[in-house]
Order: sequence, then structure tokens, then C-alpha cells
Amino acid sequence: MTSNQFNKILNGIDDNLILQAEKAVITPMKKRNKHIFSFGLIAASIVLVAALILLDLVPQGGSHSFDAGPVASSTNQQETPQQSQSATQSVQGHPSKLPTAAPTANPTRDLYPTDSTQAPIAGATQGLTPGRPTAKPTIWPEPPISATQAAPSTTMAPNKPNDAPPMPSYTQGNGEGYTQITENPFIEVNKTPTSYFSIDANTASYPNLRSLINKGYSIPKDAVRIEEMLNYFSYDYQTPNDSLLALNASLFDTPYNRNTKLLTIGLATKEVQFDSVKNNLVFLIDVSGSMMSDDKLPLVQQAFSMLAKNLNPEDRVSIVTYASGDKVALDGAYGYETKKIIGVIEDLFASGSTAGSRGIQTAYEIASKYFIKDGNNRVILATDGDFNVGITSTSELETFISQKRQSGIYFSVFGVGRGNIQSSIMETLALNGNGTYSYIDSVDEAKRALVDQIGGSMVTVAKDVKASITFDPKYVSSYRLIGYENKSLTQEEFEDTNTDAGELGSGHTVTLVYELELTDNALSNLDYLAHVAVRYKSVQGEEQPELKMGITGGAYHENLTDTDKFVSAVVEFGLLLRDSQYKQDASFSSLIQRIDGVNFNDELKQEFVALVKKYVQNIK
Amino acid sequence: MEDHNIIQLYFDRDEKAIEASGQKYGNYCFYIANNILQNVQDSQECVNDTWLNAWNSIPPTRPNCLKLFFAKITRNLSINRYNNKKSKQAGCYTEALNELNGIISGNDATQDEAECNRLRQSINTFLASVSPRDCNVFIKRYFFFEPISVISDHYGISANNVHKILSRVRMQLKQYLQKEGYTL
Repeated sequence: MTSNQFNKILNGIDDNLILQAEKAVITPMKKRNKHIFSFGLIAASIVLVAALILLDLVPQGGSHSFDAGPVASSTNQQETPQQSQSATQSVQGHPSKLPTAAPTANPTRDLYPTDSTQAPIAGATQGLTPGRPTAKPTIWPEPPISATQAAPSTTMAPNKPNDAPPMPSYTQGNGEGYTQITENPFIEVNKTPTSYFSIDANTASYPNLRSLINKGYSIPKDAVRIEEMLNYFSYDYQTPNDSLLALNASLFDTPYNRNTKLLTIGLATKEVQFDSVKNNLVFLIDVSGSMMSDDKLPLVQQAFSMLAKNLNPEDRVSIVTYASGDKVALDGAYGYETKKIIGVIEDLFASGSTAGSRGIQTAYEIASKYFIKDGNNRVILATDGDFNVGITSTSELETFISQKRQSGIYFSVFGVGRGNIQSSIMETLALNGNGTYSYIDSVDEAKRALVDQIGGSMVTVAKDVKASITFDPKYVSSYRLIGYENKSLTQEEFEDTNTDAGELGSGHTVTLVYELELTDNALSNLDYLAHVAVRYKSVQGEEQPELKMGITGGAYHENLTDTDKFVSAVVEFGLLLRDSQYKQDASFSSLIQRIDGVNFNDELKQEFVALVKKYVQNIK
Repeated sequence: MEDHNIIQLYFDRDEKAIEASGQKYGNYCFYIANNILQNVQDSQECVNDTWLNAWNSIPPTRPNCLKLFFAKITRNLSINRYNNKKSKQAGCYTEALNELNGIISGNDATQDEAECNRLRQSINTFLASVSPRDCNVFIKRYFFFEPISVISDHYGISANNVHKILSRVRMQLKQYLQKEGYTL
């Protein structure tokens, strides 16, 4: 048999063994731990020698005399360079601390050409297309149960039995911030028939809640943004044929309120392939000391490494870090230089404060340097909430990002970790930068945001998306928009083409939910319920024809579809978590009963069902 | 798009199946092809041929693991293309072939399909019996044809260590197969 024949026989290696080989991932954290361990050994040796010297136990020359000086000196001569080198590689391993630039740290290991004149290679170099890990990494520490946290929480989950032990609250004693949400009230159609608001596809609230629930914390009411929970999931809405957006509608009985109906309006965007757009991405990464824990910088490293493996050959990638200072760790690498990009990402290390950095200015300078006309030019901030990026005032930061947006450089935010997340600021900054805010709580979520739905995260297809819904007073007596509390617009803002509204990415689905009180006998002769109008611009800024849809009685159905069941369950869960005044008869048992056993054919939706059950267990 | 949806597109004879496959597994298959061919254009053509091959195979085949189904097609097509090329580019594949020469005779013996299947079974049994790390290193090298440097980076061990592991596993495999009565 020839080696070729043998090689073909190896094509029959068992699938499970191949998958196991693919998934055998050594994380940067493990590599780093190895360095830390080495450093620890050296440091321990130094301490031991120093202790011996202090105790006068080291021989001082001759058979019976002791001379600490020469020995100490000798030790220092031998250890200090080693210690220094080790410290540079491990504890101070941030590229800014390295004497030579990190991208060239391992030149012999870079298999693919780094010369831009050479042929681009689209394939990943080190890893394969990342598969879903067989087990979730145990990156979360156990929830801290301190005396202060064990006290009854002011944000206690609803329906909590009085004798149940309190859940640790995450709003006490840490730096996380959520803007207070005042729920939209019911509005009488006779007085205000039209509702105006800005639409976006932020989804950060759901992974944030998932993280809190999985860690066993109680839920801060203001962390619950129902529209972001809804928009986290994909729905089988009709997709557009000729335009960038398409509308869908459904009307059904509110499961938790027998007196109202739920109207869901689904919006789907056109799918644009990520590789059909040239990308100029600048990763602006917070490497301050607070980013050291496993759910922060190591997670960012894994997330961006996944993204690096999915870049197009002609894309440009730069990495700017900020801590005590800012540093251009990677300057305009091509997308095919996967190994080089991942090498720089893996060399990042968290240390120092964030004072004195002008990271955001540097990031935008680099983005301008490699600007791609008609491409996706974007600065992507990854942080645990520390915004000392060079402009400390939030309003100045918003203005700066808005100005840069005008020049075609957008801004997206990835939040990680617990303890310092400023969801409202992150969301506002992303909105000003025509980008999205996502919260990454796990490797799976990173894969979802940066691999599976990369088009949605990175490729904007519709800008300044605004909607107006006008209800017919003949059939609807009052309405209440669920969620979108901080995104309402006035009629003037809706009609003003210069109003900055939300952005939608490729393949996004957005769900709007209204709770309606119908007039008496409306259902028996329901004709024309409402009129929907959506205004938006193309990514080039051209105003697009208004998208219109009339919602008629045909949208009503007594039997809930699987999508209706899921949407209403998410809404109900959100209302319960918020302890909403509009929750009426909502209960965990009824919502679980509604969705349990439904085959959604979607891992994320099944995970939601499990998450609700876990939350119920948590509060028992 | 989930794998089952892509497979359904193939069953529905919907050409979006090709697009979806390329979008999800294009880079993955390119990586395998390029490890063998060391040529961008040839690798890209092999990847394109993979979708055509899949189109002709599904239906009736319904792959259990679509990713590996594509991987195996790409690997086969790339090896065939490599063998048909007049000027062969030195790379991971040629290195791997040379390494495997140590355990096989090199005679172009015709093997019937049943014999090949039995050999496959034996190799799988052997790989399942070695340590997971050794098994993974072997597969990375001889299934995916990954460079030694990439494997060493991946495991945080030296290239020399990777060579030692591979050499040991090859020898064990040779002994195992000889014991099973194979004449390689």
C-alpha cells in the first residue's frame, strides 16, 4: 500500500474522534497560567534566597564564615534578568510592555504571508471553524455571599416566597449601572392614535440576564429590557425581496391578561453576506487590571480570535489597547494574516489603570488610516465598563463618536464581565456610532455574535430606522408599547430626516409588541386595526421609500403559533422579572407550560426555556 | 443557518444550499484543501467542487455531521488533485506522506473495498485506545495535515515533542496493524 492509499483510508477515521481532535482547545488562559506558574517559581526562589540572607544562613565565603553580600549580588545577577524576562512575558505581557512589537514576536511561526503583495489566503491558520464547545467553560466564579449581599435585595425577584432565602443582589456595592426604566403606559387611541419610536437590534439585555441568572443573582429591574430580550432571538419572519426591510404582523389573545390582545410586528432585514463587504476593523480593547478575570479579557481574546478566523482576505484589522497608556498592538493587518492577528490577541494581558490613555482617538486615527470607501469601517470597543478611553465626559464621547460617524467610521461595543458594566452608556455610545451594543457572557455567545451572526453584528443594512403605528379608534381603545421605553420619538422627530435613530444589521429580525385593549365587539367586525409605517435610510444615507403595512382582522388567530407562544413567553418573563404593574395574571408556571415541549428547532430558544426554569429554581 | 436547514435545502434541491454551505464551511474546507495543495486557486476550486459533490450526494445521503461530511469530501478531492498535479508543491501533505512512509511498504497494492473497510475499523479501534492527546495530535497531522508548528502552538509544547508523539503513535499503529495481520 502506498502512503497515498493509506491517507485515503484515514478519511474513514471515526467522526467522533475527528470532532474530539477539533475541539481540543488550549485556551490562552491555560498558556498564561503556565507563564504565571514559571514566574511564580522564580519569584518564590528569590523570596527564599532573600529570607535565607536575612536569616544569615547563606555561607559568607570560607568554610565557616558567612558573607551575604557576594551571594546576594550573585543571586541578583542571575535572577534579575530572568525575572525581568519572565515578568515581561507573563505578568507584564501586554504588548505595550514588550521591547519589540508583539506581531513579530513569533515570525517563524507565521505560516501565511505577511506581505500584502503576496496572494491572500482565506483559510484560518491555527484553528478550524470553531465548533460549539462540548461543555461550557467554567469561567464564572461562585456568587459572592457576603453579609451585605445576603441582605434582602431591593430588587428581589417577583413571586418570591417570604420564607425563601434571599438571592444575592448584584446592584449593591458594585459599579454596574442601569438607567431607570419607566414602563410605557396604556395610551388612549382617541387622544393619541399614533406611536413613534426608533428601532434598533440591540440584544445585550438578554445575555446579561442569562449571566445573572446562571450565577444565581437576583435581577435588577432596570436590567430587564424586554425589546432586547425579544430581539436576541431569530424568528421565521418573511424576508424582503426587493427592499431592505419586510414587515409581518400577528394578533392573538394575551396569555396573561384576558382583557387584552397582543399585537406583534416583526421586521426582517435583508441578508448581506459578511464577505461581500470589505471591512476595516479596529479592536479597541481595555487591558486595564480590572479586565484580568476569566470572564473579561480572556473571553474577549477568544471572541476576537473567532472573528479573526472569519475575516475576508482583503479585510484590514488593527488592535489598539488602552490601560495606563494606549498602544497600537496591530497596525492594519490583512484578513488573511489570521495567525498574526491571533498571536497579537493572545499576547494581550490585563494590568495597570486606565488613566492617561487616549485610546479612542488612536483607534479612530488607525481606522482613518485604513479607511475603505463604501466598506464597513468600524471601531469595536471591548470593555468591562471602564470608559477612560481618552475622553472622560460621556457627552463629549457621544459627540466625538457622532462626528466620526459622519465620516463613515462606525462604533460598536462589546461588554464583558460583571461589576462595572454601564449598559446605558454603552448602548448610547453604540447608538451614536451607528453600531450595536452586545454583552458577551460566554464563549457560545461570542460565537453567536461574532461568527454565526457576524453580518448582523458588523454589516449595517438600514440606518436611522423609525416606526410609527397608527391605531384605528373604532377597534382599539388603548395601546401600550412593550419595551422601547428610551426610544420613543415625537412626531417632529419621526418626520425629520436628520433625526438619528437606530440601525439594523444584515439578517436581523426585530419584534415590536403592543398590548391592545380593543373596543367592545371589535373582534366580530374587525376590519382595519392599524397602519404601520417604517422610515429608514440605506447604509449610504439615502432615504428609502417608506415601508407601509395595514394590519387587518386577518392578523388575528385564536390558536397561538409557536412564534406567538415564544414571543409572549419572553414578554411575560420580562414583565415578571421587572415585577411590572402590567403583569396581571402572569406566572412562571403558565409561561413554562406554554413553551415547554414545543419543538422550536432552535438551540437558543430551548436554552431560554431552561433559563426560565433555572430562574424559578433560583427563587424557590 | 443550522446544519439541518442546510441539509434540507439540499433535499429541496434549492441552490441556496451551495451558498449556505460556502458561507458556513467555506473557510473550514479551504483550510483543509490548502494544507494539502498549498495553492490558493487549486484550494478554492476544490472547495467549490466540494459543494458540487455534496449536491450530487445529498439526497439520498443524509449526513450525520455536515461539517465532517464536507471535510472528507474536500480532503479526498484535494488528495486526488494533488496526485494529478505534475509539479507538486512541498508542504504539510508531502511531509505527512513522508512520515507515513515509515509504517507502510510503499508498494502499490490494490486493496478491495472490504479490506479497506476492515483496515479503517482497525485504525479507529487503535486511535480510540491511545491517549486523547496522542489521538488528537495524530488526527490533526494526518487527517487535517496541520503543520507541526501549528500543533505545537495549539498544545503549548515544542515542535520536537510533537514529532516524538507522532513517531510514537505511528510505531504503535504499525505494531498494532501487524498484530492484526495486515501487510501494509
